[in-house]
Amino acid sequence: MRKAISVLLIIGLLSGCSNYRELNEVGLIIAIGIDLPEERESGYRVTYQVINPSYFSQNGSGSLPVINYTVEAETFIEAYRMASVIIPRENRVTHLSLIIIGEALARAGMGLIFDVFERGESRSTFPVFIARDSTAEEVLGVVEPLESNPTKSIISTSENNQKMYAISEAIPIYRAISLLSGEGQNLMLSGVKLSQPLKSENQTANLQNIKPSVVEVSGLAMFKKDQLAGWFDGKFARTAHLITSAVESTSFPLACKGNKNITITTQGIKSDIKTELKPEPALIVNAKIRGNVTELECYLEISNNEEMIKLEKKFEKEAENQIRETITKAQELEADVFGFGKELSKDDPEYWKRHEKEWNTLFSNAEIDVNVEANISNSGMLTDPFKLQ
Amino acid sequence: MPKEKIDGIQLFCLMVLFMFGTAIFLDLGSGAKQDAWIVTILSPITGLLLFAVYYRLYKQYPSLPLTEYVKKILGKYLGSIISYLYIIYFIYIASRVLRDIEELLISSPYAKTSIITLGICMVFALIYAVNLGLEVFARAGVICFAIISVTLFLIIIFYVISDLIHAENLRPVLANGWKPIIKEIFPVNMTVPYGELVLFSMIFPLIKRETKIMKTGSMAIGFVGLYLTINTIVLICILGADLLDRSAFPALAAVGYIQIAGFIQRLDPLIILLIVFLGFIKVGVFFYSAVIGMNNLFKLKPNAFTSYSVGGIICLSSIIIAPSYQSHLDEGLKIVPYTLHIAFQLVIPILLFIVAVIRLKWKEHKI
Amino acid sequence: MFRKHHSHHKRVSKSVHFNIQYLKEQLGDSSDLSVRNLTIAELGHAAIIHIQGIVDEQSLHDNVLSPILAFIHEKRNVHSGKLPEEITQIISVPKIKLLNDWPEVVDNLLGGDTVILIEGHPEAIIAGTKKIQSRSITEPTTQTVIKGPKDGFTENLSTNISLIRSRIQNNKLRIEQTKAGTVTKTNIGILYMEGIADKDIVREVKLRVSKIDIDSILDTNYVEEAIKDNRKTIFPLFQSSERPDVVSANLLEGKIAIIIQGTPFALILPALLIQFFQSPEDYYANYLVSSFLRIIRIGSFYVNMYASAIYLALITHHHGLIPTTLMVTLMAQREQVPFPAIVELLLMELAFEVLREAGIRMPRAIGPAVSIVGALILGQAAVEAGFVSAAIVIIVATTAISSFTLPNPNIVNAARGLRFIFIFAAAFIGFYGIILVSLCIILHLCSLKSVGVPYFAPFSPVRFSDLKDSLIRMGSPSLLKRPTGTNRSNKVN
Repeated sequence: MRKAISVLLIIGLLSGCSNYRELNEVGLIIAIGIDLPEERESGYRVTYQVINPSYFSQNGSGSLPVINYTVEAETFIEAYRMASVIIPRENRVTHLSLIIIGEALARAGMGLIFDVFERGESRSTFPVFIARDSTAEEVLGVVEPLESNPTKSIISTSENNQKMYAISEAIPIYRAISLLSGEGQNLMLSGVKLSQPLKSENQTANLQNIKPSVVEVSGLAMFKKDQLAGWFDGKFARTAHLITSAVESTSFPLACKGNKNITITTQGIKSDIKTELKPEPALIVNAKIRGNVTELECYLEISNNEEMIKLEKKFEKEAENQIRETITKAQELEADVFGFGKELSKDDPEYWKRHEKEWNTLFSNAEIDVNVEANISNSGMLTDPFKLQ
Repeated sequence: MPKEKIDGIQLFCLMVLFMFGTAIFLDLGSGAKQDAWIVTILSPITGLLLFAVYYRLYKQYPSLPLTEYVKKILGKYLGSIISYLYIIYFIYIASRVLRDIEELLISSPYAKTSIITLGICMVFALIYAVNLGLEVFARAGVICFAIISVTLFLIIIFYVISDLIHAENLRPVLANGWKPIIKEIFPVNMTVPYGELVLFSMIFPLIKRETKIMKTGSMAIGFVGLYLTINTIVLICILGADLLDRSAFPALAAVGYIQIAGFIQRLDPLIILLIVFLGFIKVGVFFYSAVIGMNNLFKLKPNAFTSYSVGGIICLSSIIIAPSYQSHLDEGLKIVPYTLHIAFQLVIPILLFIVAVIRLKWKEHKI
Repeated sequence: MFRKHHSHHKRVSKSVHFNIQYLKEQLGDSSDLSVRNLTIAELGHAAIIHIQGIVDEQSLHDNVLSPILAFIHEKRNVHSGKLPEEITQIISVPKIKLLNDWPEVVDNLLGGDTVILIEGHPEAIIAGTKKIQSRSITEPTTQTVIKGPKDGFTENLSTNISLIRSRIQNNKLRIEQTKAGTVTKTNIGILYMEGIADKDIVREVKLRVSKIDIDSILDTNYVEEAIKDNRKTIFPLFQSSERPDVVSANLLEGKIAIIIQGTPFALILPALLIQFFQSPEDYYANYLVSSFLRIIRIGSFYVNMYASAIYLALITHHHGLIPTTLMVTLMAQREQVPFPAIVELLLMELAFEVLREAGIRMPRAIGPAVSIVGALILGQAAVEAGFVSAAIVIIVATTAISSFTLPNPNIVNAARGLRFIFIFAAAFIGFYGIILVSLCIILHLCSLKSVGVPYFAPFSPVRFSDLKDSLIRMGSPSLLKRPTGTNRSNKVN
């Protein structure tokens, strides 16, 4: 008994130094936006999006689901600590699920800001986006009607687009870090922006608008080291993801007659990239695409096998062209965002060691060799389209 | 009723858990970059050789622990000094392992807790365990083994399902030749975890007579080698050689990446479970050996006092052993393996073995 | 035997009058002592003594009084020296004996026998007229089954033994009776199967039973506590059962049963932890179904121990582990709660314990009303008033319901106690505490022994052949062998 009491006493003395926090003492940060500072010379302007729990409780209507706090400070952690100036609760980053970086900051160079997320107690599986042509603060500042908070709407828009068209890909922060730190591949991050500027200061007015201001994914940012170098837009962004096999499903319109199109929806895309030395490096992309004909604006006898083979050839050519164009765009910026250099470093470590420094120029001058193998099958329930009589 | 002795299955489980210890959390062989798995597949062979030496020594004195037969081999005074040093060594390694556990816990789930709190809780549990005796400890080891195997298996399955394994990270093989591999094996990967089996010289006398120790031991070493290799391969595939080398606890980082259907994620409890179970067993075995060593050396009757004091020392020294995790790690990688480990795991046992054989021969000659 | 030489023992005297006086003195002139004086012709004075209420009046009249009165009436010519022998001949009760040691005579009298004293003879005739006061065999109230035998033990030792005899009609069934309890002198039966039960364990059990030194034995728990291996444990080291089929099955596995006069519970020993999760019904139903149900039971045991502690650890230490949506809901719920989470949880747990206790003590008719008021109205109102969060009510209710799946009340009590330890560990240091306490419990279980048999077998020490009937139950062909460890010969004939 004496033993038990002394054990309890010792443990009781220790209880001060523990993790114990009540739920109603913490402020849950779910998103962080990072911009260039406005009021100071250097440092960051950080926007914290904090959950407002009383919105979700039974008698909490009237308030908004999240609150944004913006702080400027010299370093990131200082900003985190400084946030206590305005945030009334102990902030927690354990549920951090989104990082947005303003374009201006991205162009100036992100440096090592991701490092802090790897060290802290937050997880490292949440995605990073670039706020295109705007600041992170703006992008995080819109509550749209369909989703309960801005963070969620950005993530779900991006995920949905990734499934349906693939302009956007949610890159988890650990991948971003390993791309920034690894050699032979540059970083690509998806962009987000507001579809239209917020009309009034009042958030609830936006909610009552039938065409509210919403978050949209827009383009794919290419980086050179830690600096934003340029953007892939629309189709190019999609094709860039096609090269890195990040596409689940997307659609290709093929011109058939005049400005009419046949649309092919792809199902499985598997592409292999390689760099061959002959003796100068050549960039090789081998892609396999399966697809369905899903829309016909002009008449095509698709039950006919020969027609289908023709269509496949046409599709292959179109895809090859797009891939070539996309790579050329990256070559212009000397940003190897696809990882050709990484492949080379694995296949031929000797060569890589010698030419690592000059890889960017080697990359931008390299030949491109694209080879697409298309397989169009199963065109839905119908065989031939109806004829206009 | 007499205490039931340790049987083959229990010995196997205890050895496996002991060697898993902190090894599965550390970046084994990461100096060899993407060839780290070659390190982990080769080092069990050196481990087996060491184990054979410890086993032969035990065979000479089948009823005595290491700290006792040292006196038989080297005479009373020199032997006592050596066995005293061994006890200190055990306590030191126990505190190092405890520090590892504390740092692991601090690194993510317990960021705001002080390490002394974590240490004291663990030591209380350990004192309870040590007072129950190693036989009970070994029996509990079987249960822990089952729980840990299931957990490790689950984690690997999760890695595969969440599509984290990128086999291309393993290439290129042997880009830097054999040199870094050999450098990694000797001495760091030979001593941890295999060389630490020297501790089992304290435990052999508690094992049932009919157990085939050498066979069980080799199986355990083989099993551990196999698992650590799989583990290293998986970690290289997930993190890449670069990150593997950079992160303090690669396994922790990799588990953080698991995300299945937005539902299975945040597997920290599994990690805490692994850390606590494995750490508990490892520190516990060192702790127990130090206690029996001390009781024998100072001719104390088995009592609770020794375990309380040794527990207190382990707990305290785990904190004062190093000012920061970085220096703790540096000691562990650059100083301890080259001095302490080589001395206590390799040089002294081999010397003892040679002396013992010579004595035996001499005795036969005389007769 | 040895002690008797030292203690002073009075013997029955020749004088009937003196004897009656002595008896009255011993029993404090108790009002239920009935003495009937007789004169047997010229042979002299006699007395028939019994205690009202505990003798079988019918038997006393038919088998004792009538023959004696007829004997007096016949006035047979008997040598007075042979009178006691003569009377034992004519009395027609099955049990009859002659005693001259007072304490023994008193014991028998108190046990319900009739004492006959005859002038001039320093002996008492004891006629077995004990009334078997017992309720009829009814369905057991604990360990109920849907399908399977429906009879349960009663408070009567011989009825209980007969229930087992009728199941095991085998000459190897050994029944040894002793008495224990210095005041109550309760009859205790030790049952085992010769040739199946381990001899050493049987000897050990007999030794421990013979060493019991307490005043009274009113239930099996008195014996259990007296002969336990380790008193400092919350786990039940012996199984107790009200079901003759369970006792028989265990006897046939080589276990030992202790049956006690006055309680319908039998003690089965040695017991293993896993036995407390096995319901007799497991063996009366399809093995796949039984295995599933057994896993459910073990699962609910864990839920019962861990659920509230894990919840507490999550909301106080490991916020990061809760999925964000759930986290937001929980935060919203806790926004208005005035207590710290640990206080809130303990309050609800204690409220539940109070309700449970109230439900048992209440008269049967009011019991359900208490649970309705307690669970529905109180819980609902507390949540609406914002005293507690809804999540806590859900957790405590889950914990409570899961405890009802376990077939043995003792193991539920163990889980109950451990639950509070886990709650404190979780409040103090989260999962780390829960895992450390679990480790200590594993170690504790591994150190426990029930009459020398490892309690945590077949898991540790591992017995592969017994694992077939542990967490799951395999089909009968794989259960051909008896469990090891508690018996000697291993083949079922």
